[in-house]
Amino acid sequence: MLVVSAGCLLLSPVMAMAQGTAQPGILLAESNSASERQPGKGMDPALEAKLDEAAAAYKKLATADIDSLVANSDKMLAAMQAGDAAGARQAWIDARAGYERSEIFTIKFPSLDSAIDSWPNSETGFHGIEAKLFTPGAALPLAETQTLVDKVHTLQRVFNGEPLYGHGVLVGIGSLAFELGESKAKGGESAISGTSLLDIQHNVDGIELAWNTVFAKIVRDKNAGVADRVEKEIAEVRQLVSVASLDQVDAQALEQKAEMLAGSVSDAAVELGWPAPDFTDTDD
Amino acid sequence: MSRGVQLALSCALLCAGLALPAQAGDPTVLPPGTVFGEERVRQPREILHDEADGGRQSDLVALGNMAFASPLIFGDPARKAGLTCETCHNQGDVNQVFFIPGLSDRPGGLAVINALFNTATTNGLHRHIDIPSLRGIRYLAPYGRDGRIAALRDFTRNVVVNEFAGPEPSPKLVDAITAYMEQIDFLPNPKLASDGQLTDAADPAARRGEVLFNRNFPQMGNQSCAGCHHPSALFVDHLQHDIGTGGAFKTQTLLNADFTAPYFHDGRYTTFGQVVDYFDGTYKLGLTVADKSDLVAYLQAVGDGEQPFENNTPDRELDELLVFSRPLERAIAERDMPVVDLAVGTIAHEMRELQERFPGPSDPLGAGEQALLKPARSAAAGLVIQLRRVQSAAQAGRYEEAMAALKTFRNRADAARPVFLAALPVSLYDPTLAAQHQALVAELTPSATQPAPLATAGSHANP
Repeated sequence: MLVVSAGCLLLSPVMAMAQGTAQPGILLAESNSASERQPGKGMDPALEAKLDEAAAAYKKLATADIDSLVANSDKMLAAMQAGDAAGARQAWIDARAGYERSEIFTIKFPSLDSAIDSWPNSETGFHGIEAKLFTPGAALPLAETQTLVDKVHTLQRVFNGEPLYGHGVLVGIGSLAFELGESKAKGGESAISGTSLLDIQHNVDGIELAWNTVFAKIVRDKNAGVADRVEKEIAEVRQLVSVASLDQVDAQALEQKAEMLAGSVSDAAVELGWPAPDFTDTDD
Repeated sequence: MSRGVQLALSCALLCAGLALPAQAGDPTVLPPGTVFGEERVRQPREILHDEADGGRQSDLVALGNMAFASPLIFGDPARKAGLTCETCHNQGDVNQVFFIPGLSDRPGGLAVINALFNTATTNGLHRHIDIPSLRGIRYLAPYGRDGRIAALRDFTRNVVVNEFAGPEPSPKLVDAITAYMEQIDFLPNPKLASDGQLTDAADPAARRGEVLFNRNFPQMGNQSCAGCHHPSALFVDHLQHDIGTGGAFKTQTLLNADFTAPYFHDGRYTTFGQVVDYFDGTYKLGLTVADKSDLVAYLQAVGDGEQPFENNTPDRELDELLVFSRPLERAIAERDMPVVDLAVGTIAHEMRELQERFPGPSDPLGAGEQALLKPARSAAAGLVIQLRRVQSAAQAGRYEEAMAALKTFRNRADAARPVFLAALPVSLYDPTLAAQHQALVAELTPSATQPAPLATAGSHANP
């Protein structure tokens, strides 16, 4: 998660149960999924099916990021157990890459997201580990890392067991785009390790992958102008963060472009027949 | 230090009216250890003259107020750092915790000519200047601590262009910022009559001090304190004097000075007692302990003001952003794209800061309260995005659409108000939660050695 969490998925486990889309047991407890397939009222069923198919294709690609998150978290723990601080630091950085690219859908799992990537939090999760692992002289945070490993394995299991739907992916793109706007302002999320710029770049990777895989063609068929706008703004955001170091990111320009991108993604939703998920809806 | 101890300390500091020293602005632009104190809930109370008279901020004043709160009028790196006029002159007053390592000798000021903000004007000298309050500034010419610039408008342009490397502002924008500052009134003070004499509301010690203040001292060229600080003229004489502090500096008003410590052009003294000691020592006035105490009591009475602080609330912020939306509307109508971009960028950023005061589910302080916080966050984010729609439409030359989008923004802002207020008690508008949050952020924010917070603010408790 970035500095603050998006909090705009209009989902609840109760609604998930009602719609029969949630998995039983642990999945229900961990996931905030399901009604994201809504609000299909008025949507052409063929279009909806196409979107779900595209979302499934995206899920396959996203699985690689979750797998990388898990593998590198395991590696970090193993390195710590071997007393290899440098190896653990590298594994921490690599694990975060997978996570930051996955923030399109990790907001589906708020309790796991909070346990894994809570900020500000110097006690648990990635940033609790970061505060110790990247501070010279601090003891290696073995217990915290063991907890993180458990949580990312749970995330992997939950993620693998749940479908992704078009609407949820679109809301994830818009939310993450909006969050990008503030990601530079306070020096980034991973200031202690000095990897905040990587966080931001991986967020953009995630946005681009999800858009291109799920929406680029379908939205273009509906309204090329909106698709052009989204893609132009993704490119602009990309350019703003394609710099050598965080201090070269223009925070105000990033804020503007990221917010415009979130607005354009919202417009894309309307083109697809959904209500504008512009974060003002509160009826969850 | 354990977090428990740190949190307890944080609350203690906050209750004393002081912000936590935590990283501020953009730490990739500003040195670690920079303090802006923007997270404070308690802030100086601002009185704008026309509003106090039952009117409203004119569109020109509103434009100036908005620009005053915008880093976009400055050049890099101030712009990138998120520095604004408002950063230093918080609510038109001072910022007692402002500190930039390397530029500030002490909290509450900085060497404003420096190599960081403008290499073109830097002169190799380090001269720390205490941030002055802008209350009553329209009466307090000339401008600058050394009074080198006669007109507030000229001084304002100089700050934007030369001190903070901003592009040449339009004449209208300089007019607007000046008009806004000219609106900032002193806080009313029932201890003072309109001629500057103490009223019955002042205590006996202050009244004894008033006599001393008006007494001519042969050691001061047969002048009194009141010889420069004219009570009937807002305690100034519009002149510069060399009182042995390193050059000639203009006479500062004493009105509302209880809330503007530290004192002197470089902020060298934190209390009125030290100021009185300086004059007593420099001019060998031979004041007794009782005399000094009476003079301090007098300064406190003169420097007082009604309700000097108030808590920031989403209600207040929303009102302000709606005021800022008026010059935006005018700019759309006038096809004035520089002002449209300035207004949208500024209002959207302020709205985003409002949003950040409602912690998300991954924030340790927001985890349990999302039923209230999430709607507030969503509403604020929606408002930000709506503003960008205004900007997009205007940039594309679709001005009618931009105007309609602005109307929608206002309607949604009205609808958001109760949502924000409902979440207020569990948000960072709550002073205790804000302090806890700052402590958490500070733990995850690398910073240099922090400056000691100001020990006293000229308060009655600490003369």
